[in-house]
Order: sequence, then structure tokens, then C-alpha cells
Amino acid sequence: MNSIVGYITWQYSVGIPALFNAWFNIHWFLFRMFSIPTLLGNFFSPLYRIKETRRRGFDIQDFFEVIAVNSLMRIVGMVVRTVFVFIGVMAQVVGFVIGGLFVVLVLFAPILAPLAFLFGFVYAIS
Amino acid sequence: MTYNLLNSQPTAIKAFSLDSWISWRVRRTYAFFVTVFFSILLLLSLAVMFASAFLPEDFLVTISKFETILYGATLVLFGLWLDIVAIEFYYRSNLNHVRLFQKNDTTYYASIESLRMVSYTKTPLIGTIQLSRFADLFSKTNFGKVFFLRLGLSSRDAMAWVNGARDEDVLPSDILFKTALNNVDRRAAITIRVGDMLVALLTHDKALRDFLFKNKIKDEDAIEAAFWVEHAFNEEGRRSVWWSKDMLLRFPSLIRDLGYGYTFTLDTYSNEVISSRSLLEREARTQEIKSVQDILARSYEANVLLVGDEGSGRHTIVEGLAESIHVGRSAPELWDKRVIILDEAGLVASTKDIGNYEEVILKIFLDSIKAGNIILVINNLPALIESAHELGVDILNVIEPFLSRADLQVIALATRSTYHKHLESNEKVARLFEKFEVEEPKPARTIRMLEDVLITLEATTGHIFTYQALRRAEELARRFITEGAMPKKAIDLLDGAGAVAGKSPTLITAKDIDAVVNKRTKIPTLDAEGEEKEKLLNLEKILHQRIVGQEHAISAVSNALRRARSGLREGDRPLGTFLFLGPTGVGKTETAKTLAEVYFGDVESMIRFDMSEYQGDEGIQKLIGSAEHEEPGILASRLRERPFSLLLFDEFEKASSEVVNLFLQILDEGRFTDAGGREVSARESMIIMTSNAGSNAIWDMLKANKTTEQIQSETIEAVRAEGSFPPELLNRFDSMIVYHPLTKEELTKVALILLSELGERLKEKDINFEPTEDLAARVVEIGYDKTFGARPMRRAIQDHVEQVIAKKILSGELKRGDTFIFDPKEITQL
Repeated sequence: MNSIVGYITWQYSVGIPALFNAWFNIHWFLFRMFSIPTLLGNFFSPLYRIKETRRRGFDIQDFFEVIAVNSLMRIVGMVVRTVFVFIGVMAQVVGFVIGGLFVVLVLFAPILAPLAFLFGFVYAIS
Repeated sequence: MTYNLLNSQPTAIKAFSLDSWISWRVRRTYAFFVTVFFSILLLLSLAVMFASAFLPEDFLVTISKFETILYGATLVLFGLWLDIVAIEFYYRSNLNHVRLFQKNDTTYYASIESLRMVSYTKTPLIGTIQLSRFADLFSKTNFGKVFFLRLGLSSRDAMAWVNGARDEDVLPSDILFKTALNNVDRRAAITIRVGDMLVALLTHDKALRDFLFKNKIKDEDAIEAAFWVEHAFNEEGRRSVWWSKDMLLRFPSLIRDLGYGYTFTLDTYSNEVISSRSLLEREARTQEIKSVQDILARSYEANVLLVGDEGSGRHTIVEGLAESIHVGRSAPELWDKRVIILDEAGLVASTKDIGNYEEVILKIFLDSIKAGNIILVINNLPALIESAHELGVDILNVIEPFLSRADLQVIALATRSTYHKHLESNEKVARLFEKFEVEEPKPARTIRMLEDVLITLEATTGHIFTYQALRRAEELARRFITEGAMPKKAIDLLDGAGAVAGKSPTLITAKDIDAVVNKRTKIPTLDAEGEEKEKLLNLEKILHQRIVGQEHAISAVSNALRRARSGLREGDRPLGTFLFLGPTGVGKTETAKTLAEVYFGDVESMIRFDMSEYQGDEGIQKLIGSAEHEEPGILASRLRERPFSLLLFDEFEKASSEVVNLFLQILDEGRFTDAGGREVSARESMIIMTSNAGSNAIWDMLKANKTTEQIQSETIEAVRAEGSFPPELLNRFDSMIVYHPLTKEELTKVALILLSELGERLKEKDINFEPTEDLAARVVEIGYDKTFGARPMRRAIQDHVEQVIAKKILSGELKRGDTFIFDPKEITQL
């Protein structure tokens, strides 16, 4: 009985910030896993830093070739990073929904759990 | 000063009371199965719900009962599962240290396991406690079982503690906690751990003290074992809180490389550093890893040269660095960096000529710069410089411009000896790298490292090591194993004990570690027992079976050995150091030979040096080796091969002054450094030096009828006055013993011993030879020489006695089964 009282007391005092802290950690983890700050920081960099350098002297053809290749690598880099940023954002949305659901379930577990158990039992034998 | 209790009812104690209903392990298993079944039923329910939109009406009516039961069961399991999730979240969220006491400005915490103890034993923080409940805890809980296992005991043995006699079973709580807190202060810590609680119990529970004493367990070992077991349990607890930042950090970023460049050439000649050591083994080097990180995080010449002996932990530090970057715990400047180790051998093997080699090196470094996120590790910088030099390339010149850049960090490794030989005087190395010495850890830290290493070792071998085995491995490795560095030396001993134990899981104790050391070094590490004990107690008698007279010498060496083997030896000096003075042929060398055979195992354990060969300048090089010619010294090599031995230095007065200086250190500290800079230990050797110095003085004193004691003291004075040995050398001996010339009776006894040896040889031919007193006297008559002592008697026996016997054997006069005694006529004719 002491344990149950202890649990209920904890759940509705220290437990609430603990729950929200755990939820926040998941978001922090997803943010870090998809390296969103790094991706945004390097958004316009060429993909894998692949770039051409101009030959010595002035050659108009070489000049425009280098501009074209380097611009292309930057565009490809932007596209690839956009895709990963999008996946990262989606992961955050999913994390938010599932995390939120968990928080609600655990918060109301002292009521929901026995109710679900009893109701399920009655429903199954009805 | 009093400790004030901050919280008399910490939540954690209530949370841990769940363990008294159902243990955590059982709950986890239960949770696993409920989750699995709930998931299956949930998926099935969803599938049925989805399918019912497409199924025909009459079929739905048929399965409606099944649907009802299915949905009902799903709800029931949902209720159970939610219950478990909520309870586990409550329990695991309390797996933290708790603020419990305050003294002045210091807040003291209680660790998870110490709180569990309090919870299990229902110890009130205010009130009185029952000491027997703690004993009960240790005998019944998983923690207790592991704790006893680490001490080589079973939980059944613990019943002796539970039922042990106590003066008082009841103790006020505040006294128990105060004692524990005093120990926390002594450790300069702020958290009460199980070890501190055990210190408190040892202070107040006589039954525990008696229990440990009866089982031959030292209090310190029990306390350290408690700390060790708690550390492992804490780790388990920490890992279970998977939603903590600490645990989530272990997953690396999925796409960090998108921000950095390709490294084609570098990838061909390198490997990513992956940690092969346990996380905790790396954590034992946290300070060093942090120091290396600080150097690498600099904005200029951020390169490190790690210098340390093999096995001292250089690679552990590199792997620890890679791991800390991987989990995001490093300095921000090092985030997303890849730690790459260069394949130096592959590089040299695959490049055809100088041009090709330089080109590849340049490409590797250019790749690293372009990528922007590389920390390059050169496993053996001296070897790389050397092999490049052989190809005609000055590699430091080639890579210098890259090492000066901020976007590349290099870690180079070298051993102490190769650093001294090749790098110390290199100005470029000094400028480009910051040297970081990897020191051997001190004993307490080594034990922490070994505790962590054992986690991996036990997992791979299935063996369990007691705390005493671990401590013994550290002690013996430090004392007796001179090759290699800590902690690797100690790890090798643990590994060796595991290998000897075989494949089936075994409990490895301190004795197993001693057995490994005994086998490798032949040094007796355990206390003398059985046959050895009898030998030591009767050593004089045993030695006198071969040595006649010279009681003082025999007594001195026997006493030295007894002191050494009973653990009373002082410091790190050799087992015993003696100077035997006296004329030739009186038993000095024979004493050493006999001692070697009787005590050290066999005559081969005596290493003899004729010091007349070490007179010149090259004398010292012959002993300790020569770095220039890369020759190992004879003394260094022999001591490494056989550390437990008897070293005999004949005619020591002839040694050069450099050799004498060497021995000043050996006699004092039991060690010296060879030409290669490596330490050689003589701590497990007995050193006997012989000299004929003072022989003339002895003869004069005999003529003057002086007593043995007078001869002893005056001879030593004469030797000091003579100056054959420097006074600082003479002062370092345990004992200087004067061997006196043998009397006629003693010579006769020597002759009898030599004749008995002949008798032993004849026994092999089944001929029984009985030497008589008269024969022995005759041998003395013909063989003894005042100048050469008893030595010529051996030649006399060979030339006279053996000749006669040989003729008789060859002529058939003496046959197998015969007994032969020299008759008086034959004796006279010898």
C-alpha cells in the first residue's frame, strides 16, 4: 500500500516534469541524429565538397566549365540536404505525436490501466 | 561536526520497495512478455478491424464472438502493459543519487545501491536498525550473491554472518550513517556508497568482523569488492534509463559525412578507429583523453605525440577519443571528426619508389585537408620516419606544411625507447607535436582499470575473478613482471589464469594468479608451506650435509632466506647480499652451489661471473649491454630469463670501478637500467660476492691463535683498510663473512663428502663403495694444499682413488653387486 501511495505521490509531483523531460530528450535525440544544424550550416556547400578548380592562365571555356560544375554540385548538395532536413522534420513530427500519446497515457495510467483491464475483461466475457 | 538529514523519506526508497515484492529482473522479464503479447494482439485487432470493412456480413456475424474476445483481451493486456510502463518509468526515474545529508556547505548524496540497501532492510533514517537485517540482505539479494562471489564465498557461507554472535543487534541509524559519512569524507567524496555502508557495518557489527576474519578476507578487500560490485550494478541501472541524454548520445548522427569531403587515397591506406576495448576501460583514461582533446582542439599546431611503453594505454586513449567524438561528448571543435589510423606498413609495401611514395603521402594529407574532418593517427612515428628514410624521403619535411594547419589534427604514437633514440633530438618533432607522456597508472587506478577490463574478459571466457585475484594480479605484475607496462602486464596475468582454467566457467582466485607468476618467473610468490617450509626451517642442517664448518656463513644465508620468505624483507633490495672473504678452496663457491641446488631449485639457477673478465672499460658493457652495438648485457639477459636465482661474483675485487658503481645501485635498490633504458630487477635474486682479500691477514691471525669472532672482525677491518672495495660498497652488504681455513678434522669431513659423491656414481653401476676415515685422511694428506685449499683434493681423488677403482672394474675384480672398501695397504699405496 505504501508503494502505491508512493507511486501516486511521485507521479503527480516530480513525475510530471520527468515525463516531459523524457519527451524532450527524444526530440533532442532526433534533432541530433539528423544533424539538422550541420545540414543547415552547410546548406549551400557543394556535395561532399566536390568542386573543380580553374587551370592556370585565363581560358574562357575552362572559366565557364568550372562555374557550371561547381554550381551544379551546390544545387545537388542543396537538394540532398533538403531531403534529409525534410526526413528529420517528419521524424520530429512523428516523435511529437507518439511522445505526446505516451505522456498522456502514463499521466493517466492510474485511472486508465485498471479501467482498461476491467472493461476489457467484462467485454471479453460478455 | 554533525551531518543534518535533509530528507527522512526519499522517494527512491519507496520506489525500491517494489524489489521486495518482485525483483527487478523478474519484472523486466514479465514486462517483455506482456509487451510482446500486447503488440501481437493489438496488430491482430487492427488487422481484423481493417478487414471487417471488406468482409461479407454473414462472415462477420460468425466471427463476432472471436472479435469480442480479441478486443477484450487486447484491452486487458493494454491495461497490464500500461501499468508496467508507468511503474517502470517511476522506478527507473528514481535510479539516481539522492541528496540526503548536509554538513556545513557540503551536500552528501546516497547512491542507488546504498538506497536499495536501506529500502530492503527497512532501515529508518531516523530511529534504530537491526544489524542482522543487513546480513540477511547480503545473503538473499542478487547484489549480495555477486558480492560474495567476488570474495570467493557462496551465499551459504554468509549464513555464518547472519547467525553470528553479536553484542548488540540494534543500533541507532544516525550512528551507522555517521560512520558511513566519515568514510565518505576520508575518500574525499560526496556520495555514500555500499562500500561506505560496509565500513560502518564493520565498525559496529562484530559478527561481520568475525565472519571475514574466519574466511581470511581482509576488511579492505571486502570494502573494495563492494565498491566494485556497486559500480557494475550502477552501470546496469544507468543503461536501463534509455531515454536519458547519456544513453541517447550513444547513437551517432546518421548523416554527418554529408557536410564533409571524400577521402579516396586516405581511405585506401587507412582504417577508421573502432574501439575494441570496453567502454569502462576507456573511461579509466578519462583525464588523459580530455588532455589530448584540449591539445587537438587548439587552433594552431594541434598535434599530439603520445609517448609510453607498450601496454601503457596509448591505444586506449586514441580509441577513447574516437568514442567520445562518436557519442558527442568531445570538445565542440572536434564534433563530427573521423579518427583514422594510417596503415604505415601497407603504404610502404605498395609504393614502388621515392617519387610514388611522396606522391601518395601528399595525396593522403591533401585528402585529409580537403575533407576537413580528419584526425589522423600515425601508429609508430619513429618507424614511419625510418622506413621513409630508407626510401630516401624526409617525411617530416613533406608533411610539415600540413601539420601546421588548423583543419587537420595528427596523433602520433611512440614508445619511450624509440622516442629517446629517434625523436628526442629532432627539432621538427618538438616544434610540430606536443608531447604527452602516458604514465603507468598508480596501483589504485590500475585496480579500477582492471575491474573494468574484467567485464569484457569475464564475458568472453565465462570465468569469474575474485577481487583478491584482481588485486594480486596488480601486485604481482608490478613487483615481478618487468617486461611491459601497467595495466597490460596485470591484464596478461588475468588472461593467463583464465587460459589455465580452461573452457568451463571457473572461479579464479588469488592462488591461480600466483600459479601463473610462479610458472612464468619461477619466483615463489606464495608464503612458504609444506616442503619449502621444512627446508627453510632446517636449512642449516641441509646445507651442512655438503658444506663442512663455516657455521657463521651458513647461518647468515639461511637467516636471510627465512626473512625473505616470511615476508619480513625490507624494501626492494635483493633477497640477500653477502661478501664472502677468505682464502681459496675453503667452501665459498661450494656454499653458493649448494644453496642454488637446495633452495633455488637446481645448479642452473646459479649464475656465475668471474669478475677478472670485467676489469676493463668494456666490463660494464658486457654486463648491461651496449646501445651502440645493440647487444644485450649478460647480466641483464640472465636476470630477465631467470629472475629468481643466485648470482655469484667471484674475485669481485678485480672488477672495474664502473662495475662497482653499478653494484652500488643493485645492492641498494635491487634494480638497474640496461643500455636500452629498460629496468632490470634483481629483487628476487640472492647476490654473493667472493674475494680473497684479507687472506694473508687470516693466516697471520690463525698463527696468533685468535678466536673465530676476532678473526671475523679484524679481517673485515683489514679489508676496509686495504681499500680493495670502496666503503660505500661494503656498507651495502647484509653481511660480510670470513671463511676460515679448514682444520684437519674439517678437511677429513670434506674428503668424506667428496668420496661419498664417488660412491653415488658407483651406485649407478650397482657397486657399493664405502669410504673410511683412513681413506679420507689419506686423501687429505695427498690432496690438501695450503695455497689452494681443499680444491686439489678432488683432483687427488680422481688421480689416485678413482684410478684404482677403474682398474679393478676393468679387470673384473670389481663387479656388479660387490661392496668395496679400501684396505690399509691400498690406502698406503695411494
